[in-house]
Amino acid sequence: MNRKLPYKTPEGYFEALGARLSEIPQTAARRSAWDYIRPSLAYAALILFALGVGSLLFRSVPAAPAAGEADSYELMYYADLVPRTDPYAIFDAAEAPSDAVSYDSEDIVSYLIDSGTSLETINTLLYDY
Amino acid sequence: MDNLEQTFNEIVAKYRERLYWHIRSLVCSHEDADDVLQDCFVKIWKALPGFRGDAEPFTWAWRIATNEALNFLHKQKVRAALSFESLRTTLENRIDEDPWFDGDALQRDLAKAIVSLPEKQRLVFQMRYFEDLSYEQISEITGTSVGALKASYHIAYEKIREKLKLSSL
Repeated sequence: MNRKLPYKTPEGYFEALGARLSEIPQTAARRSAWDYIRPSLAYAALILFALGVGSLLFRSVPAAPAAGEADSYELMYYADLVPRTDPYAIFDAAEAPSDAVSYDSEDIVSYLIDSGTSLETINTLLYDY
Repeated sequence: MDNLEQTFNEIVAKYRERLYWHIRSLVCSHEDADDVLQDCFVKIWKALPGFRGDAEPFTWAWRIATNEALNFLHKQKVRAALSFESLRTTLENRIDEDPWFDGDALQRDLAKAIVSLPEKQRLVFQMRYFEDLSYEQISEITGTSVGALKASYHIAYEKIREKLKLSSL
């Protein structure tokens, strides 16, 4: 087996290569201050771009209106999903509307019988609570 | 011309051809070998002020060249993976399409068998078989023990023999 690598090179390659490689010290010396500043400028430009895009995004989110200036739509938009008031306050009798209908036990029993509630359940509801 | 530049030019004159073939055997392309060789000598120039002669200039330069070639291959591996191709397939295609390939069919099969080896086995095989480096020199270049290198070479040799047997069927 021929142990020579089975590749060839273009004619005159190694002579030209030697001349090209000998220029490396001069090329390295000619590296200017701009070559050192350029990466820092690139990073600064990237950060400024990110800040600019971020500020544009934040500007597109509408601020909450000042108190007293909001219309009903805006009030609903900014209202909390969880009510601030006591959720059980709806059971407070003092807040019941004045035109509320009142029911006596006869009405309630009639309703339960009509709805097919069993006698046992009616007794439990009326007398055990 | 100062001392450093003179030393650099001596290294260029003495080793440029051998380093080219070392890199060429790894990257399987003349154009890529030329690029990697250029990068290698830029690194040699930058590292020259810090070279204290702890190692032989030969093994020092070979270590730089090997690392440059392997870094290049790692990037090629990522590029190949993005195209759903393996590095091995990429290198085999390069061997097939290489206008500077100057061997016969058996040498082409050998080149393809070598690129199918894992990286460490491929490296030690090429340095031992084609470049005729001693195990001690390869150990200095790669940082691997002589015993491990001998084992790698033996395994690589057997794998290649098996592949060449199959390809001749």
